[in-house]
Amino acid sequence: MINSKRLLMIIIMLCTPIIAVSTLFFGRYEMDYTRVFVEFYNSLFISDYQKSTELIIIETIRIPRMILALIVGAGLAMSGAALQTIFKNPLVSPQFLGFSGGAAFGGALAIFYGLGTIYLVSSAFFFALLAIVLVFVLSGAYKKASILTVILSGIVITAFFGAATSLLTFFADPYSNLPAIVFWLMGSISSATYEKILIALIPFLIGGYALFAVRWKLNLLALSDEEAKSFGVNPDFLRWFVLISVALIVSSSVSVVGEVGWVGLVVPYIARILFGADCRYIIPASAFLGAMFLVVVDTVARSMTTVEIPIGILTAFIGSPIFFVLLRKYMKKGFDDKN
Amino acid sequence: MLKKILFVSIFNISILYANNIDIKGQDDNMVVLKETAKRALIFPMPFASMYIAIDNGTKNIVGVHGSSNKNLKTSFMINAYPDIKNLNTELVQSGFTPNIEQVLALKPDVVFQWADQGDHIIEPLRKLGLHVISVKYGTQEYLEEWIKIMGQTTGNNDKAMQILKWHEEKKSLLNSLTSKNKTKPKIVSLQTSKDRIKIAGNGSYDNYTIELAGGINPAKNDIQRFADISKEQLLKYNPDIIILGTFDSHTPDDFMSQEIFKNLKAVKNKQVYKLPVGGYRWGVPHVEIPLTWLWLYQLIDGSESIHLKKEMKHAYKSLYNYDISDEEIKQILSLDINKNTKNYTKLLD
Repeated sequence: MINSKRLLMIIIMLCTPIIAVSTLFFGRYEMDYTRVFVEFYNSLFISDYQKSTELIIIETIRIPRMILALIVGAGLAMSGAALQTIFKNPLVSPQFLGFSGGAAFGGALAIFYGLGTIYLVSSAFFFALLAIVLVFVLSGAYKKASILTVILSGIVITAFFGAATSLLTFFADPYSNLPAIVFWLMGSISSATYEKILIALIPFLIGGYALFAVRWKLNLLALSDEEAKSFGVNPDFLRWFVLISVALIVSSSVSVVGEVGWVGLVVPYIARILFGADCRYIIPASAFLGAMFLVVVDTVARSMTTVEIPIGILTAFIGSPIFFVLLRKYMKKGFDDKN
Repeated sequence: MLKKILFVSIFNISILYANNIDIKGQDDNMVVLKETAKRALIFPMPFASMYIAIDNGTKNIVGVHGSSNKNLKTSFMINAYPDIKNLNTELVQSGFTPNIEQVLALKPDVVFQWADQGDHIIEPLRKLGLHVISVKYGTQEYLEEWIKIMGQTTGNNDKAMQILKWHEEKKSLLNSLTSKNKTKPKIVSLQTSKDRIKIAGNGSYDNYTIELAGGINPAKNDIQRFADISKEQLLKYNPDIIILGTFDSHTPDDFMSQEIFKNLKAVKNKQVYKLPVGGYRWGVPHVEIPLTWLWLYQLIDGSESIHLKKEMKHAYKSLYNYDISDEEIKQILSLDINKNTKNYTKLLD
């Protein structure tokens, strides 16, 4: 059994780069890829090389978008997987805990005041952290709060920041700031640049590594707290460790691409169907599947129609039917198993 | 005796209603005014300066949108009509949702409001018995109706007709000038805000301007009114000329300096232009719009068949009764940010 899981894991790991690279061949602009490849090769060795539009498209649009989609997809999916484990509830996702709402408000605030990218990212990050601090305070977490209280506090904080964001959109100039805020809130990878990749990558590597490192211990949270303690794990510490790691990943990804829903909910669920409840597999598998999912969805967003479709809308449209089908299949299987 | 009473009362009634002004809003709702408007309240942003032009001043306006007021105060309009500084803008600063009590406090006898942004911005006003004239956005036909309506409410029908005649003349002029052109340049009109690129398509006013000035809009067949497109799609359209809207601060230099767009024809030819801002933003349907058509035509053509500067002096004199200075013309045309583009300084000849 373990061998087959390992094999599946290896397949997923191999598929991710293959799919990611193959998405570079899709787009609105038709081109001769052999020529572009030759040109790319030449451009490496000739300084002041005059690049063609085709090469510019690959280098400054498709590759940054692909990389950013991989990072954000992986980050959101593994955050979702970790949260679902610590809350023992498959319906938990980063959106419920206030991070996304706080970051969204912070970003919208920066756009409202017409500030540049760096302010947008800093503001989103600051408000995501503020949101999680408020969740801490509201739930009395410093005094040891129940998970339910934390979730409820998250919902309250999300609602609060949601209202604050609505207020901003209400007062935004309907012709300049408002379209920018709305578009950003819907989520888009269209503005991917190498700077944004860096902004998303560093917190992702720190938070992602932290989650990856504790994946063994996360399994113990399925047991009761007393049992977990008997294995030498402090469940409260572990939960907050996970929450902070997730805050880091989610706020950085929201700050660069806006709110992208469903990835943190659907992908871990798929991972769980493929690998069972074992966090040793679910955490990395979610990361790879999430990366693949978002890179494919973003390719659809930028190449399916003339109009650029906000990715948040597509993840919901694509994610919900997949979720529905899998849920049905899984429930049926579960039912059959019982019989 | 009875006959006499009947005659007198019919006479009186007919006198009472003879001066009524019947105005049909663009949602087909009729508004009946007993006399020309003395306390007009104006929500639609392009309307403020148009109303001032047609009514020859601000005396009959009790409130305008905060955003259009900002435009009035930073343009030549404040020199043409110094009373603009006293205009009430507490009505609304953003969006178009009325604060009902604020509206009532201003005691308007007529309210202009958008007809195509939902009933919630009109119905509450109508329920209070206010005369709401609703207007739709987006076509030359709608604009011409706006002008007629404003002629009716102000009682200055002659001026309204004079403006419409000027629109007709410039339309005919451009039609005859462009009918000889065999090749039509590809022109796109963009609104860029932050990382978003919105393009004007079929049914947008921008499309009308592009076609009237002798261009073709490559997005016409794909896009209805306005939609977001990716940078890659813009590269695919590869337009000869790009017009940047004025709802953001993106300049032609900002646009042309982007590595990704350096191979675009419009960038190579330095034909990326920022729309001017006169009494209102030039890309938007407005009494001044023939100047936008001529502006674009002269930029495409580069010839001297049109003298924009002369046209502007004439237009501002007849619209606003104002002798516009050369310096103000430069400001309207945003010369400082357009100066590196092709054919631009020719506009000032």
